[in-house]
Amino acid sequence: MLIRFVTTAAAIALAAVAVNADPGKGNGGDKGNGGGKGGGGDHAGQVHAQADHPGKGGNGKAKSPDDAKPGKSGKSAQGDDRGALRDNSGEGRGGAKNADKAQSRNKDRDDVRFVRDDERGERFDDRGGRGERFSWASLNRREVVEGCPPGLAKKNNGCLPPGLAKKRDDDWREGYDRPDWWGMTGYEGRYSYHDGSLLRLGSNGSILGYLPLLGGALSPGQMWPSFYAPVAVPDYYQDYYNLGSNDGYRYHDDALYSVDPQSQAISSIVALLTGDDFAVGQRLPAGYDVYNLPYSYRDEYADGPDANYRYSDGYVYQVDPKTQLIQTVIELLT
Amino acid sequence: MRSARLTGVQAALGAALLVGLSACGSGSKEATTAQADDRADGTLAAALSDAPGMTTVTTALKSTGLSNVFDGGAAYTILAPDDDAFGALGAAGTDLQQPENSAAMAAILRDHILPGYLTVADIDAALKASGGRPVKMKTMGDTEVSFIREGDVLVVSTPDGARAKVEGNGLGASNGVVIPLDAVLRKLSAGDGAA
Repeated sequence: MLIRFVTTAAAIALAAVAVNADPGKGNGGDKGNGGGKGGGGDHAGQVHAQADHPGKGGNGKAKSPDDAKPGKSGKSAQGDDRGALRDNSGEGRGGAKNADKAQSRNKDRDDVRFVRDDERGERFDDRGGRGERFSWASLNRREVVEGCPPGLAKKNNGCLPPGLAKKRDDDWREGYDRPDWWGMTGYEGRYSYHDGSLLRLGSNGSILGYLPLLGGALSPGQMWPSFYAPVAVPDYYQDYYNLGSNDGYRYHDDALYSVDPQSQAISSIVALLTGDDFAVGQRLPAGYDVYNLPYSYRDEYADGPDANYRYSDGYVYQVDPKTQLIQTVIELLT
Repeated sequence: MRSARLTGVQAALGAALLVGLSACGSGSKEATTAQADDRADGTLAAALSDAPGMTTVTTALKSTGLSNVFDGGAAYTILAPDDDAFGALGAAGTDLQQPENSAAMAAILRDHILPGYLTVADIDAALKASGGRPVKMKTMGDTEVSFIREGDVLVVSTPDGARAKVEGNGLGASNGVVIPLDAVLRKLSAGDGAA
C-alpha cells in the first residue's frame, strides 16, 4: 500500500474549488447512491449533486428511509461528511483537470488530497456537498426478504414451516431464534432460525419472509437475494476493497460480497465493515480507544500530542486528542 | 513512532518465527510466545492457518466464507479463541463447527474481529493513556470489546459478560494481527461450558 496524502484542512479555504481529475467517473448520472444503479429506488437517497465534480455527483448525503428501520444498535444513519478534494494531477490542489486520468485512476493517484475540516464539513453539507459524502447506513436494507427462502421453496410444498416452533433441545441456542442473537436489533415479531436464515413467522406460523444471514444464506455458493438490489458505493471503496465492476458486488448488513454478474451466485465475502459514521467536526465514535492503523501507515500517522489517528472501513481519521473531534479524513489507496 | 517498518532481515526473522511456531505444533501456548509486532509478510489468513492451536478458528473462518476477508488489503485484527477455547464450550463448540451452524459460527466470529491493525502493545499504550481504565474497541459485529490489565494478564470482555485472557503478544501479518484468546467471547447459555 502507498500513502497517498492528507492535508490538514484548517488552512484551506472553504471556497476552494474541489478538483477532481476524473471527469468521466460518473457517480452522479449512472451510479450515485440515489441514482440508477438500483440503490436509488431501494433507498430513496437524496442526492446532492456535486457541481465541481463533473460526472461525479451523486455521492451526496443519502438520507435513507432506513433511518427508521431496524438496524444495528448505535449506528446512526446520519449523513457523513466525508469530503474529497482530489487532485490526481500531482500538482496539488487546484491542478488542472485531466480527462486522461479517468482511465488510469487506480494507478495514478499519488497525490490524492482528501480534506475536510471541522468548519467546512457542515457548510459543505449546506451547499449540497462538494466532496464525497457517504454513509453505509444509507445503503442498509434490513427489511425482511419477502417470500419463501430458497431452501424451502425448492421443496415445493407451499413454503411450509419445517417444525420451527418446537423448543430447541440444546441450551446454547437459547435466543438463537431472535434477531438480536445475530447482532440485528429492533426487529419485532416472531422469528425462527432455519438453514442459514431467520424466518419471519406470522401469527399462524406461516412464513412471511426471511432474513438471510452472513455465513448462511449469504455465503459463497448461495444465490444473492434479488430483494436486496445492487447498490453503488463510492469509487474509493470500490478501489480499496477491490470490488471490481459495478454489477459484481453487493452490500448487506455491513458486509460486502462479490457475486457472479450472470448467475447472481455469491462468489465470496469481500469485506466486513463497522458501518460507523465519521464526520469531520464531530466526535470520534465510541469504540476506538486503541491505535489501530494498518501496518504500512504507522510510520506516517503515529499518535502524538497534537493528533491521534484511527482506522475504520478503509479510512484513517485524524482526531484531536483533547476534544476527540475528527479533524481530517485520510484516504488509503492500494 | 509506534512500529518501525520491518527491514528485510526483521521480516525474515518474523517469518522464521512463524515457521518455528508451526513446527512446534504442541498447542496454543507456543503461539503466544511471539514478541509484539512480530510480523510475517503473508496475509492474516496465512498467518492464522500457520499458527499452532488455531485449527478450529481457521477452519471456521474457511467454512463460513470469512477467510477471504483476511486475504485482502484491508486490515483487521482477529481475537482468535484457541482450540481449547472451543473445546471448553462442550457440545456447543462441537455443534458450532457443523456445516448447518455456519451462520451461527460466523455471527460469533464477527464479534471477534476488530477494525485495523491492533497489537497488544497498542492496547497497553491505550490502557496507560487511560490511567488503567478499560479501553474499548468496536467489533465487526454489533458489539464492543473491553480490554483491561488484571495484574499481568490482559483480559478482554464483552457487554454480555463473556471474558477471555489474551495469550501472549499476538502474531502480525501484512494486513492484520492475530491475538490468541483462551475463551470464546460469546456468553452462551449455562450448561454448555461457555465462559
